[in-house]
Amino acid sequence: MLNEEMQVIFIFIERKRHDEFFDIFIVQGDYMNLSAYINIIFNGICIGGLYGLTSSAWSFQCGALKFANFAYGASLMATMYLTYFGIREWNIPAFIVMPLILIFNFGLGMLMRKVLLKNENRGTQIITTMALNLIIINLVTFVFTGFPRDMALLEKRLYITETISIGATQFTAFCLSAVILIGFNTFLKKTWTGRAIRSVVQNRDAATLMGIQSEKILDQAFALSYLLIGISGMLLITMFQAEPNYGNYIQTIAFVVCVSAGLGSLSGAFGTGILVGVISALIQTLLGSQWNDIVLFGLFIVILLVRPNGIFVSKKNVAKTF
Amino acid sequence: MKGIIQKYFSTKRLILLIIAMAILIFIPALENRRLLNIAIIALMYVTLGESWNLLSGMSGLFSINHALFFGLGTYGVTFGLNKLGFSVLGSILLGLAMNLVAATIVGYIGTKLSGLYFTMAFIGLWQTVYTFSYQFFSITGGSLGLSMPRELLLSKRTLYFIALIMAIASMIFYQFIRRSRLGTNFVALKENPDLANALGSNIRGYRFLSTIISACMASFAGSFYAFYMMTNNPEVFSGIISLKIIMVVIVGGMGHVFGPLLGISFVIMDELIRGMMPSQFAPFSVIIYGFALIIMAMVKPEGLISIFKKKPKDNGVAAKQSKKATA
Amino acid sequence: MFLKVENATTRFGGLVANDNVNIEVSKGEIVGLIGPNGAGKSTMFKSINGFNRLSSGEIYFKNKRITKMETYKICKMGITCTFQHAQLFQGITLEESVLLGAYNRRKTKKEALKFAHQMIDFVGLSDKKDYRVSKLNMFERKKAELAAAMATEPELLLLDELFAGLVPTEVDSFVELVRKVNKQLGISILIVEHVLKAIMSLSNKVYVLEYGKIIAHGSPAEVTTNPTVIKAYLGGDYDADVS
Repeated sequence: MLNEEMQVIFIFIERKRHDEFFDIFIVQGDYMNLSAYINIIFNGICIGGLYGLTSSAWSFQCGALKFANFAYGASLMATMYLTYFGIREWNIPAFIVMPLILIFNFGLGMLMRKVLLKNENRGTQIITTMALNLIIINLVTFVFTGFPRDMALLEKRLYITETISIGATQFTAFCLSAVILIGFNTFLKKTWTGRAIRSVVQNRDAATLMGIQSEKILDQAFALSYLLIGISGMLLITMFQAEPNYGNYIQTIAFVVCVSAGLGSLSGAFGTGILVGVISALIQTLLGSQWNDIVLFGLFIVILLVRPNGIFVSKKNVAKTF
Repeated sequence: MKGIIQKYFSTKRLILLIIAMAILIFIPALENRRLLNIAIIALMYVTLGESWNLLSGMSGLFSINHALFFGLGTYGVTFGLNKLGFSVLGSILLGLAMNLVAATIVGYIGTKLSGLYFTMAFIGLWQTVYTFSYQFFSITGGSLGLSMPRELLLSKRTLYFIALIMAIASMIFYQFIRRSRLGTNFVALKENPDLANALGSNIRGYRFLSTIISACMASFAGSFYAFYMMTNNPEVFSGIISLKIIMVVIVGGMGHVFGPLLGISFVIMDELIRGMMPSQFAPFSVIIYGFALIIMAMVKPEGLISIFKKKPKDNGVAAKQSKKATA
Repeated sequence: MFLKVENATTRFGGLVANDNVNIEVSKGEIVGLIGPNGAGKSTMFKSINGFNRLSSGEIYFKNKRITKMETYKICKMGITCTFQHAQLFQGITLEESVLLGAYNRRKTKKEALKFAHQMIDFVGLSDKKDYRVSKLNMFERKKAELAAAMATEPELLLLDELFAGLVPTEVDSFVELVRKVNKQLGISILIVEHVLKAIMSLSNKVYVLEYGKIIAHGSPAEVTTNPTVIKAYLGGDYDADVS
């Protein structure tokens, strides 16, 4: 009884705090000053960097390796759930959970490549991965229930000035995603495997003639992109609630980011990811969070209609293929 | 001799057809409410399956959220009747109009870009509409949905016959399209778009057209669903319905008119089993669907229909001929 | 002026695939386009067909500019091409593949089907019209593709490496078929080919491309004795005094 009352009071306090928070931003327009805007934008940049990392995995799979993987969102969501349950519910230390999850993702990627994406037919790939998407979502719902899960990390803020601050976890996540993306890019550029991946992507037959085992390289590349998904899933759970349909949302975000950056461009994905993060943060504070998805995904459709090769990409002279 | 054989097969088929029709007409007479409900849903999936079959099986454009067209049809009817006070016909047309807008957007993207972008655009539009239907309570009724006027409640028997007519009409329509000039162009578009373009087929136009036609077919099924449920719910957009639509076709046989008819056996099985299982096992049916779909797509891409097909007569002959040519 | 390509230049990024190419084809002619691998022959074909956009230059067909036209509209005007790797439409029957071409100029199914049958007869595949394309062998597939292209009733046919992958006897019969197309149906032909023997016996005029440029043109006899052509085909060190 007492416990329930406590909970009610707690919720009341939470609600109040929430309202106060939004008071600053919306209700009393006078308070909507520059530093508040800067805070929002910083917030957006940090989240956007993470969007960039998550999207670049899809961009790599779909744009470069030419696998249509529509189970991407669900894989991300499953990673988030596993991280949450590993650390919070099963009380496994983080340094054990993280490698385990990476191994899980690597295995999942390998399995998908070996079973579902073995078929070169684009249509079969789309259908089977779509089915896998729903399988994972429903498996998660069945095992972990559909209740939203949150790591509920204590929000420490780094103060730049009196009013301008960045969330410590967000900032860390941003830096980590930037480092990982740069690392991945260097890996593709500098190492032998990376160069082999790029050559296979460009011309599979020629690469095979040069003594590269294209199938094996593609396996590795795909599993590698799943490592990226694993890392971004672990970073996402520190900021967002995990729920079974979150995967679909983040998948569509990835579409927005990848299409505006031009499919297959990794560094472009990071940049546009930040842009999308900022736009999303602004929409949420200025219009309200219910508009977020609609405006963002509406924007995606508009981009596809107007500039399908990417916002910042000039139209290239390429042979038309359908 | 050949003519006689052909004639024989056609009469055999005719007898089969008559038997099937007799069973279908007999079902309502059983007065079994559950059976009737299952039959209605299954027949509705035939229509939806043909709609997806036309878009993906015939023209090779993959929409993995076909429930978008279906749901828009449902929302059109409920919204028109509940909020705008349209007549029944008017609200069905409203659903159709909404579908036309959606199909125009997606189809236009499909004409400009490759098939992958088409699928992505579909997902983007679907997410937008799905969120909209949940979030904007005042317009869409949120997760409660909008209810239909009470006087429009139809008896299950009537609904059954509407569903039956719709299913048969959609199958005839599919076959009609397949045999016509459109069908040849659609199939060519799926098999080799570049060559089709070089042979004078306006593939952009045909892609667009196939999206529009498919959307209209799904829209009718969606409108029907509104009359069946008497309310709407954002779940009409859910991925499970899309999965069922795709599965019906893939299991039955893609690009074949009788594919969905065979595929609905899974829907019937699911509906029968679901009654026996406790509700927390509901996700299981989706998992089973998903695995069925994956296995069928990987192992037997031509679907169950291939069991009933005779082996193509040219199989052995062609091998012999080519051997002769090389000899 | 039947087909005229004027100063056609195509760039892919930094790579210049075609550089100021001028080609003329008169009505009723068979014109050959030869050159070493990567000389830009196929790019030229794709440009004429509207699959590529020219970076600069113009293409005229029957005194009309077709430079930036859509492929299917070019086909409606009377230019049809065949592709290098004869894939055709794997999943449908030969009859229907040709039928698609026949729909180009014929509205009803009955007329189109009749014409498609005529064309299948013409290439001599009438006993296989109900076969799936995937069941045909390479020779038959190439013939089928030719039939499909002819069913569009072109005035100019672009044949891209039609004889590649055929054994010599098949090439001979195919050469006869192409000649028949030209003589009986009066279709002009622009042909890209590696099998020099075939192209020399077929064509009235030959263009030689190297590194995207036309290095020689003229009758087959003139071209084969041209020192630059021999140099292009056999390498720079080769002394050209065989001529």
